[in-house]
Amino acid sequence: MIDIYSIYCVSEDLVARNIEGELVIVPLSSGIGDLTSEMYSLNTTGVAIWEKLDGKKDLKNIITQIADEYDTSWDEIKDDVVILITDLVKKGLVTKK
Amino acid sequence: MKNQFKYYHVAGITIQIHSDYPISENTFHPKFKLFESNGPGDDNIVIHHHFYVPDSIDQLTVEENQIFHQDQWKIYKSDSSWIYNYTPLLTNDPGNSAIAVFNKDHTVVEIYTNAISEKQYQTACFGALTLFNTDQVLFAKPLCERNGLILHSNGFNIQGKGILLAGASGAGKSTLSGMLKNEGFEVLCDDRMFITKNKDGFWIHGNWCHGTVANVANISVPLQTIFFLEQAKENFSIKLSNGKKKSHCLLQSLVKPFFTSAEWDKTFSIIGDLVKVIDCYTLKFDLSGKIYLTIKDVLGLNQS
Repeated sequence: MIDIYSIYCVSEDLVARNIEGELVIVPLSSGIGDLTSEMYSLNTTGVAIWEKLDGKKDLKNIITQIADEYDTSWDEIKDDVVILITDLVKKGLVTKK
Repeated sequence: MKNQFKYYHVAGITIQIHSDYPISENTFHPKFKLFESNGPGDDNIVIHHHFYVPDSIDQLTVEENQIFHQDQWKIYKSDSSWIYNYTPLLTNDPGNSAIAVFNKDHTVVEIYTNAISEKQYQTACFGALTLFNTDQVLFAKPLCERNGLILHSNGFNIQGKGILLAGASGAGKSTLSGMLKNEGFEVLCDDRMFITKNKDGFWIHGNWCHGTVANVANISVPLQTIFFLEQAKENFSIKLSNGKKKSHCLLQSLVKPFFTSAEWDKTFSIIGDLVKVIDCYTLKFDLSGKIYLTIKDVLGLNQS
């Protein structure tokens, strides 16, 4: 269950790189990218959320920022954020602080 | 003196084989003849074949060093080396039971096996210099170090222009290879293509990590175009102008080895450069065999 009043941050065990607008993420295990592990990529909204996971802002704050930037309803962005963070936590790419 | 040394040259790298046993004409598969060279080059990887397993291996293959274990492979990493332990599971596995100890930058490889006699070594016809089922582990890190990577694709030379055909298994790479070979396209490799970047741009290199085509060309040519394959009911191409789509397709075809964070960063940087400078197309093809005309048209080659 994702708590939007909590702070989430990007795991240290990964490599992430933005290539032409696509954020590619490779999970690392013991500092090594596993040849069988999946590479993940995020869409534009996902990249916007990911880049705000600085370990300082809670999700509510991030949702408000993105809703302002994209001129979209808060509730709509909240749904996107919760779905994405749930998925990223499940994959071990993001952890709750 | 019996021949215990052998040299092969690929992608600008000379592979030196030093063996404890004499090397005969039949020790390695005939496909390696295309890549033979006379001696060490400017950039070398040295492989030693030993026919015993030293006790010191036990200290390297302790559980805390293990980073991977799946099917035939157990992989370990210590402060100064990488250890690949290969154990064939199937009776028809072309690989041999062996342990390879690579130094940190994968330029010196000690291969140990007690599964091969001197007599067997003379006639083994090994398909990989590592004695495994593939030499992919031999090249992945050195290529990265040299601004390169490996793409799961088929590579061709046509009139000095290098092209790659990439696609998932079943996309028709082998079928298309046969068609293009009949039309004078020179096959560089039909499974794993080595790509490097230097001051003149991107180059693709013939190599022996191939699939079904035995006669590949030991040449390097400038990379002109990458085609991503889709079978269809007619032949046509669509240029990919969206960088995101290009990078997505390239990443799908990337051979993913065990890389450190720095090596992944470097690989992503090369992918980013490929996206910027190399034309990419979706290539839809039928089974008529006329797809070479579409490819030549894209490359601006005279079709007469």
